[in-house]
Amino acid sequence: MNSHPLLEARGVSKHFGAVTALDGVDFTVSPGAVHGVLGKNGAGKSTLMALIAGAIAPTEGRIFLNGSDITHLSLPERKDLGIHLMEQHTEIVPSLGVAENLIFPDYPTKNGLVDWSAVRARGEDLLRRYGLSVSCDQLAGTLSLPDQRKLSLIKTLADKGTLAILDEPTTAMSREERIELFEWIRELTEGGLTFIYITHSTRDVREVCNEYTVLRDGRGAGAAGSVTTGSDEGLAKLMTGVDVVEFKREQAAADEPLLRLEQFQVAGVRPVSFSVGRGEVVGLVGLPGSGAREVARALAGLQEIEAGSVCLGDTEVYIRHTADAIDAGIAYLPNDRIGEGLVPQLTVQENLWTGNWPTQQVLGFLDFNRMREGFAKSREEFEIQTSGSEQLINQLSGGNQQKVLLGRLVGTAPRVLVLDEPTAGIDVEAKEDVHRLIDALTMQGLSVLMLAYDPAELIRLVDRVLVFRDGALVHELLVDELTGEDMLFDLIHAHTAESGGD
Amino acid sequence: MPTEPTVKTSDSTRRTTGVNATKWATRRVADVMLDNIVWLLLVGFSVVAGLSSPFFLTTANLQNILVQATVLSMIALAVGVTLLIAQIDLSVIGNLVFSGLIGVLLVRAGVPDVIAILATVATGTTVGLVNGVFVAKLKMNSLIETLAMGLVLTGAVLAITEGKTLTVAASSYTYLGNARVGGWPLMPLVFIVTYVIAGIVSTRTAWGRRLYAVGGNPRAATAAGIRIDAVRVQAFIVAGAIAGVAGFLQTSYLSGVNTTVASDLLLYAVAAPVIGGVSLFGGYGRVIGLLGGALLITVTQVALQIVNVSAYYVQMVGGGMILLAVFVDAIRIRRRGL
Repeated sequence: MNSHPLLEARGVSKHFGAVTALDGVDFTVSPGAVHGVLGKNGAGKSTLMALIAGAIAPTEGRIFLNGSDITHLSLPERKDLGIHLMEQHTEIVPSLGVAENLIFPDYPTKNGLVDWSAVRARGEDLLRRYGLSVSCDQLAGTLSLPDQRKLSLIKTLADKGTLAILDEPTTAMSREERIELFEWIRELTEGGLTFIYITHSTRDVREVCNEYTVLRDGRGAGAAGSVTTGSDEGLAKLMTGVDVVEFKREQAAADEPLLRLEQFQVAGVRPVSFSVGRGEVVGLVGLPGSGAREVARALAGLQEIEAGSVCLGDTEVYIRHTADAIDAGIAYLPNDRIGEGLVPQLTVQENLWTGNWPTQQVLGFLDFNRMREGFAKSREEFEIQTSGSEQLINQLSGGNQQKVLLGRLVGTAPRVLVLDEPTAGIDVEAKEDVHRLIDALTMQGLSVLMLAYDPAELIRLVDRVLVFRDGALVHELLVDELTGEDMLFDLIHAHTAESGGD
Repeated sequence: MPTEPTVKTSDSTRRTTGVNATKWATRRVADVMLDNIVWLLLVGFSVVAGLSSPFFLTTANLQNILVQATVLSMIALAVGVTLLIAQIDLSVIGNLVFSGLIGVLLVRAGVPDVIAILATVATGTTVGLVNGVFVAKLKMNSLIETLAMGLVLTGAVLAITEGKTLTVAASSYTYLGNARVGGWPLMPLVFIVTYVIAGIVSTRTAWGRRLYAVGGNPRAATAAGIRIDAVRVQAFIVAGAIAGVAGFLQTSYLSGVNTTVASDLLLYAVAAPVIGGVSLFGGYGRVIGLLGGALLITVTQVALQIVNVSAYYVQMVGGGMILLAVFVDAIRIRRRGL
């Protein structure tokens, strides 16, 4: 590897008035690297990236590209040098074709009219060069999530990119989709591209980066290291400054079944039968489309149940709508926290009570005192960090939003919780909080069905896993029967040795 | 202990130290002012009008304004209810005229006044139910569906009356629109009572809060166990019922019906909620703001007449006011990051 760094920032600081966002950070990126920038929300990641991209100027310090000082250059000038910042939310027009997305808005023209064959040619050329095998005419909105990210990255880099800054590119992606994107990123580095990868996920750093810098409170928390030397826990500790104690649940003793599904059928999934004991945590695992999520959502009343029966205790319940599921005692935490969980216009307290208002009424009128008390109680119990009940929900961090939603679920007085990736996109500390909360709830007799894509997380939290593959329930095993993450990973993915099993 | 700010902000404004606390307080004040812009404008406008014409700040004119505001504020409330669930009911004017016509026809046919009044409201409610089913169950676009429904109803009135004005003799049907008690007109009492009820329902009942959740994020509302289709149908029914009441009030006040009376009302009925801070995208708005919007529009129009501004300018000022309201709405949405 080249001994000269591609990019170097020396002692950069950034003050906004009296606020110090960055304080004397040194930062070095080797050519051809995927350089992880790790940190919690507010650690200074975005500020550092804005300084590198040229969106803002540093108060102190200098930035070098290939040894030459670029501190004084503007954002467009740095773009010309090949530094590109990719926003978290990518600029793809879903209703336009792939090729058009790539050249938009600089349409090639012939005689004043758009030259569509040139558009196609240019699109095909770019797709081939960057190794994305999709059709030029396909609508961008129909692409898979990783392909959409790839498309917008190709559009950003076009011909002249050398250093791309990616901001949390795997948000909302499943493990499979992440791996697909990571492989592609690695291929691009072999072609000479360098990446800076901003994230708060230690897992992403472990999986895609070959070097990293950890930021904490605007300072470098551990000089750039090579990923092979850093453990997950070590990275998490560097980020938070405290030892994050990974929570490991004590397996619950088998109890009488609380929830029983018999020949339960949803579209695209073969009938499944299983039961969940009182106080048990059962993991539903499988790739997207394997049936795990479909079963969970149907149980929550968000997808049609085509046949079969659901029993809670001794009573059969009929679920046609989420309201039926909630009435029966089955509460669902959506995977899409922003899109399906929160009402962004409303306050933290209102979001906590959304759907549960009837429980807060006296003579048909909402009892504000009771709602406030209930909120205060949830805030304490779930350790929700907020400036107060009247704060807008979209101002909270992801972890705190998730705790509000968990509070909402518990407010329905459920007997079964169906949690769809409860720790997706939240930071390491909040993640452990959520794990502990889930465990504490089972101590109160609640049963939990949980979807998660991280085998390590599942193994720490569940008592039993149900493995779905290609629309069928293929394995059911106690967590003790799992030899490790790899075994679970293999079970989730089609594994030829297992094809005759069960 | 995490003493870190609990608010998720961009990296740059991370530390809420003394400077930022002041900044935040300034923001709060600005937010409150934006939320109450309608009342600030109302006061400002009244002062200017009062300085220009001594008659403006008299009891007689206050009574006049309240009477003038009655039908508009009812209709604005009907539109507001549907805006809250991220839909819109543009059929309210057609509904108002049509319901009023039914009432007038029944009175003219000799039906007891009470029955005629109930039939007027029932007609409006039924139209609301039809709108609700079309929009919520059959998934028609509410903008187009209610626009068409409004045209159908207005057209029906035109067809039935053949453009003529149908009058009713003074009776208990016309009592509410014209009676005075202790020198004060009775009609404004209807909208005042309705607004008090609406204020309570919107903030203090589960049903009211459901409107906000369904408008704010329908998917989240579904996942939280709210039957969003039912809530939508109910919202349109309520909007229709209010339009029916407004239809009765209008015909009672005018002692008759014709198609031209409400022709310029629709735009103001949509503008009033927006001026009053009801979001066009659903999930945000307060009843008190609606009231402010309706009053501001009425006061503006009355004031322009009183201070002898040519009638030719009234429409332009009304349009300007709507522009201002949408402008403020856009700023508000940006500040909230919605």
